[in-house]
Amino acid sequence: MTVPFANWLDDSHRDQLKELVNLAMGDGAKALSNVTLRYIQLSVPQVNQALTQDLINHCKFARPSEFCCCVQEYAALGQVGWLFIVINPSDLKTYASLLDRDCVDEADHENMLVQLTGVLAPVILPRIAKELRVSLKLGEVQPILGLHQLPMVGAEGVSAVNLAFSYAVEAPSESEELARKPPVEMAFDVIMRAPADLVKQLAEKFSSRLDASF
Amino acid sequence: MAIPLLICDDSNMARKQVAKSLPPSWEVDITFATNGVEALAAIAEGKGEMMFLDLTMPEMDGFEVLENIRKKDLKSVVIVISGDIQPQARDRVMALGALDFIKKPVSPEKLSETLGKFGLL
Repeated sequence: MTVPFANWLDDSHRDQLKELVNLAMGDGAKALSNVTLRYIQLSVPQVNQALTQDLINHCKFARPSEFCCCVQEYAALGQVGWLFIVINPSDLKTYASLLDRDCVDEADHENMLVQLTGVLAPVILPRIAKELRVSLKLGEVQPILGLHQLPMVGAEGVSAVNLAFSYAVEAPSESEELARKPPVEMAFDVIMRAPADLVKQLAEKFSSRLDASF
Repeated sequence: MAIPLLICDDSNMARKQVAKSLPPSWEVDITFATNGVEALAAIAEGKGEMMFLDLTMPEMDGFEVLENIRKKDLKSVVIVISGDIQPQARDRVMALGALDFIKKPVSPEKLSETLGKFGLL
């Protein structure tokens, strides 16, 4: 199914949204680095309009094995959005090992998903709210193991927008404390999904706030 | 004589924000670059005696730019402006020869303070 892009989502809006996400992504990386004692590599954020089905496809293609993610609901400006943490189970297991935790059965996977989301969501989403000077409330957290469990979040919003980026945990070298840790390979995606109307308001607020600064 | 100043960031908004934050009395000749490859080319052309450099960029990131500046012995005084606020990112860019690290979003006050600290105004 092809859905036309919202006509307001031009290059300028994408650029503003990417820069907004860039700031929140940096805060999230710092929080994750504090927990893992590793340097977290950041990707260049992507801004795309997509359906829930596109999100599922993205997850399928990005992670050829099992689907594993956690959804953090949030509310801002009277609308509901979702933050997805999409991670391969083997990467989740690596993350657990960095925290000296086991990740063997389904309960462990769910616990680690919630833990990881608990590190990132309370930092990433409030930073966006702070930059925009809007009130944002965190809602339910839902770990999802398997595509069949993926709720149809945002299904009503054919014009929903995904703000996506990746984190990769790097084998450290500079710091003595970090150098004692063995190298690991771990990466995962973070997708902030919001109704198009909400994203438009966020982009406009960010733009006007920066303009007002000068 | 105006200082050749390079502002390198993949975001148009961020580039403009840095340019608008520059002290009005500072005499500079500004060139913009959208990634590390463009930045290195500009420095080679003498357009980046001083540079404000982002870290997370496509094509070539800020860390690679600093590595290349060192490897090729290019002349550029670099101040990193980035949203990557991990202490390791700061340590790494300083080890690679950056003069200082400023976290995004940059403000005119912070930029003036930093430039003043290093006697660049």
